[in-house]
Formats: sequence, structure tokens, C-alpha cells
Amino acid sequence: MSMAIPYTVEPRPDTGLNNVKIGIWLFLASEVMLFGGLFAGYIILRVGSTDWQPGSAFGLSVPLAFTNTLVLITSSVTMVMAWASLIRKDFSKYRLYMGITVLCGLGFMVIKYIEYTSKFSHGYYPSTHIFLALYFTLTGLHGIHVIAGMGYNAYLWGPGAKMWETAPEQFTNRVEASGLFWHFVDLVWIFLFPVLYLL
Amino acid sequence: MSLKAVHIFFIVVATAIAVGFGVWSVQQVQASGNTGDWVLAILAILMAGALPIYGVWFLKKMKKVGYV
Amino acid sequence: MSDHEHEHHEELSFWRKYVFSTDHKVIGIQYTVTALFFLFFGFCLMMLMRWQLAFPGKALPIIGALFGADRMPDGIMLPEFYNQLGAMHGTIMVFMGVVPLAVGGFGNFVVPLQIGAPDMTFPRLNMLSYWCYFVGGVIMFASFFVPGGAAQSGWTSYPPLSDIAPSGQTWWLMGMMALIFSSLLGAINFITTIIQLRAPGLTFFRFPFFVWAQFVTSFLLLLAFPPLQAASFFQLMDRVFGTSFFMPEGLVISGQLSEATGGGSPILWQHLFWFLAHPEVYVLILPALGIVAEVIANNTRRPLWGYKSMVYSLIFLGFMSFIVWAHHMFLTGMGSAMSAFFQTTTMIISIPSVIILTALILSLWGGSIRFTTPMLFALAFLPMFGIGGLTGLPLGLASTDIHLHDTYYVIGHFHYVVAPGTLFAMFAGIYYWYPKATGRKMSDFLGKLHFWPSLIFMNGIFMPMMIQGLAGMQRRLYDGGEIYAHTQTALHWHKVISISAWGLALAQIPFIINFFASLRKPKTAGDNPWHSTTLEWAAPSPPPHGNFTELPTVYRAAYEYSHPDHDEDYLPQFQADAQAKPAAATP
Repeated sequence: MSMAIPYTVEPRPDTGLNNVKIGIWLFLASEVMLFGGLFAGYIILRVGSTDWQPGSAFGLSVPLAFTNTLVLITSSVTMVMAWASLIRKDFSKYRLYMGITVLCGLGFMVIKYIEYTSKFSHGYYPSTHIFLALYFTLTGLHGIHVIAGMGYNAYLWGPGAKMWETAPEQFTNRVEASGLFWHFVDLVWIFLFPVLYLL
Repeated sequence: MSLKAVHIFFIVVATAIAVGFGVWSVQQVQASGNTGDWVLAILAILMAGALPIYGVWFLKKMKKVGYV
Repeated sequence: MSDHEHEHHEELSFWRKYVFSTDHKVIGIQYTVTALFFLFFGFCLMMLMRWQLAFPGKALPIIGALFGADRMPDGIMLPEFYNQLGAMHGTIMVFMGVVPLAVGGFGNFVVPLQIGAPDMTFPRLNMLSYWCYFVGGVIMFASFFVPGGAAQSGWTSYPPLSDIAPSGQTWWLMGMMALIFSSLLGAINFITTIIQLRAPGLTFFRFPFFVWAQFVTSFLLLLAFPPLQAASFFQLMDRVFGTSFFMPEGLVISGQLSEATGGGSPILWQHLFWFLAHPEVYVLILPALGIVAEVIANNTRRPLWGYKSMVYSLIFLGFMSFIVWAHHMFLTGMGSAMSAFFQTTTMIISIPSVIILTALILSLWGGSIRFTTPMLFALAFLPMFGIGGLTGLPLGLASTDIHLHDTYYVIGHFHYVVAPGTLFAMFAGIYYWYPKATGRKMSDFLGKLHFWPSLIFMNGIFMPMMIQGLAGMQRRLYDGGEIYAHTQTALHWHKVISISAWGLALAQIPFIINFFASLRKPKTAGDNPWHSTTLEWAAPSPPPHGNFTELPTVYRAAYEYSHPDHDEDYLPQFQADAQAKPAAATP
């Protein structure tokens, strides 16, 4: 009686994919729909509003947001480098790049925290205006995604990396899946940045 | 799609945002003339130039990895 | 996400084997039992409401005193409690009853068996999916006991009413988020399993129709639920952080100007909600169509008529279900151009539904029909679903919907689809796969005692609703419309409906007895008691951990009944030689 689930690591010949790859892409498809719903809400509320105010009216800082954009783009590059290092069997390089990726995520959240507290100190809360409601909800949900991706990457950097010894190929697949999620999170920010700060 | 394919797509989008942001900040400079806006504009233009170069380098480096 | 640790299943503790199990069959049964409990619970809520509608303002005898002074003082139901019952009946039946039963229960148990897989691709995710559902259910259940009671703004939770409702609404949102997360994990698992773990030889067009139905359903769950998740976040922000996503400017509540800053749009919620909730209707019906297809092919002893056109219709239906949502919103003033678009798509989507139903009816033609209990339910499904579908057409046309919108006609329409439609299919599925899950057959006599009264009472409930609705009786009225002049001619039907509802409850007693008493019978059903052709019958009954004693290979399409080159009237997918006896007939 064969118990193991097939194609967890090796691709199924006729589909050319392993289970994890399909699973993560389906998950990302649903994430696209989630943020699609949020952006649709933004559009409908903005178009229907009689008193729309752009981010600059509430002192949203473009330099800080641009710094955050740079931070996330950098983290995507290091994420791919971490994966590429595993493909070349260079584990110490993997550790380095993955560490930078996690730190970039952390840096992003620190800047986000500075932005949030500065808004609060000026008396700007989600309930103050419909723009701020959207700003806090969209960036807040994105922030939860950043924390989730950062947490899983930290796990893959630390205790999860033991798998490199026992099942290197499966571990590489995991890093790739995590990288796909991380790229999605970064892409969402690349849309959020102009929508909330510039337009 | 593999992470390689997604990364290339990501770099393309990031380049587009850099170009767009460059245009936006140049407009800001013309409107206000603040030195702060100058810094942002130059950074954005540098980024718009650097990202495609990085993308080409990345493609060469990852030649052996597939897109699926 | 792989799972190698279960090679020695004999050593699993009780907790790992029956509670925190990763086996798709155990999880499927967990889903089934939990969902059946919630169906019963949601039905009880409705029976309480039916008392108030049949005898408005009269004290409920005996049990009325049990509900306490803040719900039913002296046994007389308060309007707030009536609203809670209505909102929670809908929520529980749809999100915690039918969908978990159809997808979580039947999908989990049957799909891996029908495609010849040892388990789902992500067994631990599967377990997490069940426990998210369980937590969501507990949150919903607990919300009855928070101050102000459970959610009371209808199962659709329309703002601004839901934004200003008591705290039960916040619990509702939290519960919904858990349920949405659960179905998301389930959907990912189903799609990956169906794509990756097919047995050798099982191409997509050799799938049993049930597998196709679950496949399309999973895509609907995967892509339609997230916008409701987004909407739930918005509403949670409105309620907890005082934002105004769904609060317009200048809203007056109980004579006082609302303190919300405004700038929001109540219609936004409706769009996001129905973007989920219309595909959700197909989530309710597609697995049911799948079960009925299985049962009909098996009991007519002939292949499904037009299998391929059924599959193409199914896929087309799945696509179309994403662009019909605003036919629920004709009366919001969204404009005639929008209405014209959505009524057109709505008429188009009725075509594939009719194709599937017609193919199922034509499948009966020339068959040698066995009137087993599952077949009775499947046969009853066809006209019941037909009535439900056809009565939907006047609702999908903007001009007729103006009269029928928010009347009992709407309730009659969708209950025909979901109650004698989907639920009958679910019963068919339970009677059909019970021998596979337990190794024992359920009693045919008790099954018929369950079926015939259920069929009569179902129609006794929902047919009069159509009459009431056409008379213009509004839904969600605490007194059933007693104070309106135009509803007087239809008021007496309330008693007929209520008595039928209570009768329907009595008709479920044979089922409950049958379900539990059959567990005490000896395991004599055998591997293939219905002489069926699909892969789940190649496994032992009940299937062991890992399902198959040896990996099956598939040689032909799903429904080779009464094959001319074969002596027996069924030729299983897993049997290599058409001339030989069925391979897995002996244990």
C-alpha cells in the first residue's frame, strides 16, 4: 500500500508541475481577487465621492513611500538571489540573501510604523475621512501580508533551513514558493504606492 | 510560472513605476522648484535606467533555469 | 507541504486518527457530520420563525419560555429575535450547512477516491480547512449569546443597517472570515488534487461528472470568495474603527444625524457581496448536479446522455456566474444600461443550466431504472430544480423583478433550488455513498419513509410562497404582512407553510434513525454494492488509509453501463479486459 502523496517534489510528467507550484499559484490567484476587490472599492468610493481628498491633503510622505518602494524592490532581488544560490548549491550565500530579504521586510514595516504614528499624532485616524479609511485599510492589509511573508522567510532562514540537509530539492521548491508570494506582496505595493500617494 | 519568469515581470513593472514616478516628480519640480523634489526625480530616473540593466544581467545569469 | 509521516498509520493515536486527522475520508466525514448538525440547527431556527408567521404575536407553548425574556418574553417572540433567526438561518444554511456538506463533505470523501488518489495533495492543509470551518461555526453559534444577540441584518448583511447593528454583526464578520479562509484552503486543495493525483489513464474527459462539478465549484470558491473577504474587512473597519466605507453622508438614524464622517457607498457592499454570492449559488448547485449525474447513470444502467456537452456547459456556467451578480440589484437605481447588461448575461447563463438538466432527463430515456432510495431523491431533484430554475427567469428580467423583488416569490424560487433541489441531491449522495464510507447499506424502507413525506412537505412549504409573493407579500416581515391590505388574500397560506415545515421536520426522523441504526448492521455491503463503474468502487468498503490496495489504472470513460461487448450490465473504469469479470468484486 503506497501512502506517500506523489509529485510533492518532482513534477508530474503530463502537467510538468509539482503540487506546491500549482497550490501557490492558485493561492496567488485568490489573492489577486482579494486585492482586486479592495482596489474596486477604492475606485467606486473615489468616483462616487463628493469630497475626495488626495493623500497630500493629509501629509502623506512621498519620500518615505518611495524609500519603501526601493526597499521592497531590493528585497525581491535578494529573494531571487537566495533561490538562485540554492540552485547553485551555495547554502551560505542563500543564508546571506535570505537574511537581507527578511531585514528589508522589517525595514519596510519600521517605515510603515513611522508613517502610521505620524498620521495619528496629527489626529488623522481611519474615521477622519474616506481617503484615510482606504489608506489605512489597504496598507494595513498589505502590511499583514508583508509580516506573513517575512515570518515564513525568517522560518526558511532559521529552523526551516534544516531541510536543506535532508531534502534539498524540496527545500529549494519551498523557497521558490515563498519567493512567488513575496513578489506578489511587492507587486501589490507597487500598485498601492502611486494609487495612495501620487494620484 | 517559475520565480524567474515572475521576477522578470516584476522588474518590468518596477521599471514602469520608476518611469512614471520620474515623470511625476519632474512635474512637481516644475510646479514648486523644491530641492527635495529634485532628489526624488533624479533617484527615480536612475532607478528607471538601472532596473533594465539589472534585468538583462539577471536573464544571462539565470539562463539555465526554466520559465515553467 | 508534503506528507511522509503517515506510513505507519496503525500507530496513530485516537486524536490523530479521528479528531486532528489528515485522512481525506475522516475529514470528509467530519465535514458531513458537522454540516448535518448545522443544517438541523438552521432548520430549527426556521421552525421557530414559522410559529411567529403562522400565529403572529401568540405565545409559543411549552418551549417558548426557554428562550428568556430578552428573546421571547412570556413565549412571545420579539422582532429583534425574529430578525436574528432570519439572518442566521440564511447564513447557517448556506455557509455552514450546504456548502460544507456538498464540497467539504462529499468533495473530500469522494473526489480522491474517484480519481484514484491516495489522499488530497495537501493533507495538513485539508485538516486546517476543516478546523477553520469549525472555528467559524463556533463563532457564529456563540454570537447568539453576546449582548444584543446574533447578526440581524439578513444573511446579506446590507449596510448601513449592518454597520449600526449590535455587536453580533461583528461576530458574524469574524465568523465569515474564518469560513472564507476555510473554503479558500479547500478550493486550492481540490484543484491541485484533481490536476495532479489522477490515476494513470484518467484523462479529464474520463472524469466522472461529479469530479468535474467539484473542479468547477472549487474555482468559483477560489475566485469569488476573496471580494467578500475584502468587503468583510471594510465592514469590520466601519464597525470597529468608525470608518465610513458603507456610510453615506447625512444619514439619519432614529431621528438623529449619524456621527459617521460619510463619503461611503452602501451599494459598494452589495456589489462586493453579490460578486461572491451569485457564484455561491452555483457552488450550492453544481456539486448537487454532480451527485445526481452519478446516481442517475448508476440507476438507469446506461451512460449519461451528452456527457461532453454537460461538461462544456458546466465550464461555461462557471465563467458566466462571475458576470451576473447585479441581477440581485435591479432596484438599487444603478441605471437601465447596467440592468440591460446583467439581465442579458442572466438569460445566457440559464442556457447551460438547461442543457445539463435536459441531458440528465434524457439520460432516463430507455434506461432500465432501479428505484433505489438514492435514485428516488435524484429523480425528485430534476423537477424540483427545474421549478427553481424556471421561476428564476422572471427575477432575472429587470421589468418583472420590479414587482417580485424582495417578496416571498424570491424565497420560494431559491429554496426550490436549494432545498428540494440541492438538499435532495445531498440525501441521494448520502444514501449512495454510505455503503462506501461504512461498509453497510442504509435501510431502503426507512429511506422511502424519508423520501415521500419530504417531497410532499417540501412542496407544501415552497409552492405557497410563490402564491404569496405574486400577491405582493414582502419577505422579512415580523408579522408576516398582517397589517397590509394587499397581503390579506395570501395570509392564510402562512399556516399551510408552517405546518408543512414542522411536518418536514418529522419526516427527517426516519433518516436520522436510518443514519445511526445502519451503523450497527454487519458490514455486508461489499466493495461495489450498486454495481457501479467509477473508481471509488474499486477500493474496499470502507477504504483503508491510503484508499486502494493497489493503484488503479483507468481504461475507459466513466459510465460504461450496458456495454454491448460485455456480459454484465456495467463495465468499470478500472477493469482492463471487457470480457473478464469485474476485478475488484471480491474483498
